[in-house]
Amino acid sequence: MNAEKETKAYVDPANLRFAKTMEVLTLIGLATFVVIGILYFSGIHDLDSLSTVTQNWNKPSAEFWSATTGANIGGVGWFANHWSCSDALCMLCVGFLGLVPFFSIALTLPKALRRYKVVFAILTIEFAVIIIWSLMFGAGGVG
Amino acid sequence: MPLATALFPINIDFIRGTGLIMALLSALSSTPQFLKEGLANIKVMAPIVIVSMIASVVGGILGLWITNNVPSGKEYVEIALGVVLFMIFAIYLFSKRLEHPPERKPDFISQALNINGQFYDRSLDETIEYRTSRMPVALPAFVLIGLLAGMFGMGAGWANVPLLNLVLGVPIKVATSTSMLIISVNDAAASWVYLVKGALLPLIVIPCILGTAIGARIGTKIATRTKPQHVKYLVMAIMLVAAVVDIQKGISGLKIF
Repeated sequence: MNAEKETKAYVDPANLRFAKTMEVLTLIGLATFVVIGILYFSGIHDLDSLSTVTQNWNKPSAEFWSATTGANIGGVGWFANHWSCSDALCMLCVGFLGLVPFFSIALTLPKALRRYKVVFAILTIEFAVIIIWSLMFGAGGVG
Repeated sequence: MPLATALFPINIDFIRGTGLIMALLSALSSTPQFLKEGLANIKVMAPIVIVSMIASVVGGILGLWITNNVPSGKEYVEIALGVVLFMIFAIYLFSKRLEHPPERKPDFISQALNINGQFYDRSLDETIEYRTSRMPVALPAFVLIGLLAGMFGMGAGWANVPLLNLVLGVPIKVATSTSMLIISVNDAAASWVYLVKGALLPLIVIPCILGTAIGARIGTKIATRTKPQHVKYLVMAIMLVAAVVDIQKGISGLKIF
């Protein structure tokens, strides 16, 4: 029985596409996160030891990373340089969860009504620009 | 998040980043079911997140910039967070809710996009139809909410729901569900700022994400047996305590007395 019959109300097909995409991608993201989380707490190839983290976690983010790794964090370079560390992999999983609404919007576009195709296209571009700008320029501001 | 800021020695950057991810995950977990039932409406969400998504990203950048670049920035952010928590407490205390707001004349945006919807209300055994109004009035408010949500790593349902319900005129069940949908988009965009700025620590984020996923399931079961008023009072009490402690911590950190 589909959702429309269950609710006795018409549900826009775009709503259903958005829901399905979000549901599946969130499950994938969470499952991956659990695996990476286990790796992290097992201490397999961590960037920072747990004791270093707890000694420095009262510092602002930029100062924290500078004190613990000597690196100036920001942008895609940080992930690229530490891609095999469980810390970075964990953050990539968070990044994946942050992409779920982007994919949900983008994949709903073909199902949307004509006037909403424009709105969804704007949203997709806006979201993509935010992600690319964050990765390329480290989101600016902090330094 | 408010309690963690008030009680733990962890820097506010990491608490805000984690709070944002918890709000995001909570929204991602609950929204699909709401969408399938027609309770969350992407037609209502779309024009709102066009403006609020950018605002939440700007809020994230601004919040991290203040704590990292402004002398005593952490203390100022703690005081500001305390003030915002007081505002939320007041909103919980005084805001009204309309189960089914009276239908008003749609504004030009609602008319152009034909923003309407329907859902099946089980308690009434009836299909409820609605359409939005006063969108141009609500949009600037959503910009401000997005900014605060990004800056303090919040979900912002406390402000989204009254706006959707009382200003846009959508039924309370749709307002609550669509608010989660808006939060999922806004917080996902802002999470990228916190991510690339290193304001997320796996040591904090992993247990919080797992706790949120498990807590959401337990919470759903408890919610059916608990009176909504009791949950509301508990949340209000936490907000009040956290607001007082945050302001006290900020002021004592500034050493002005």
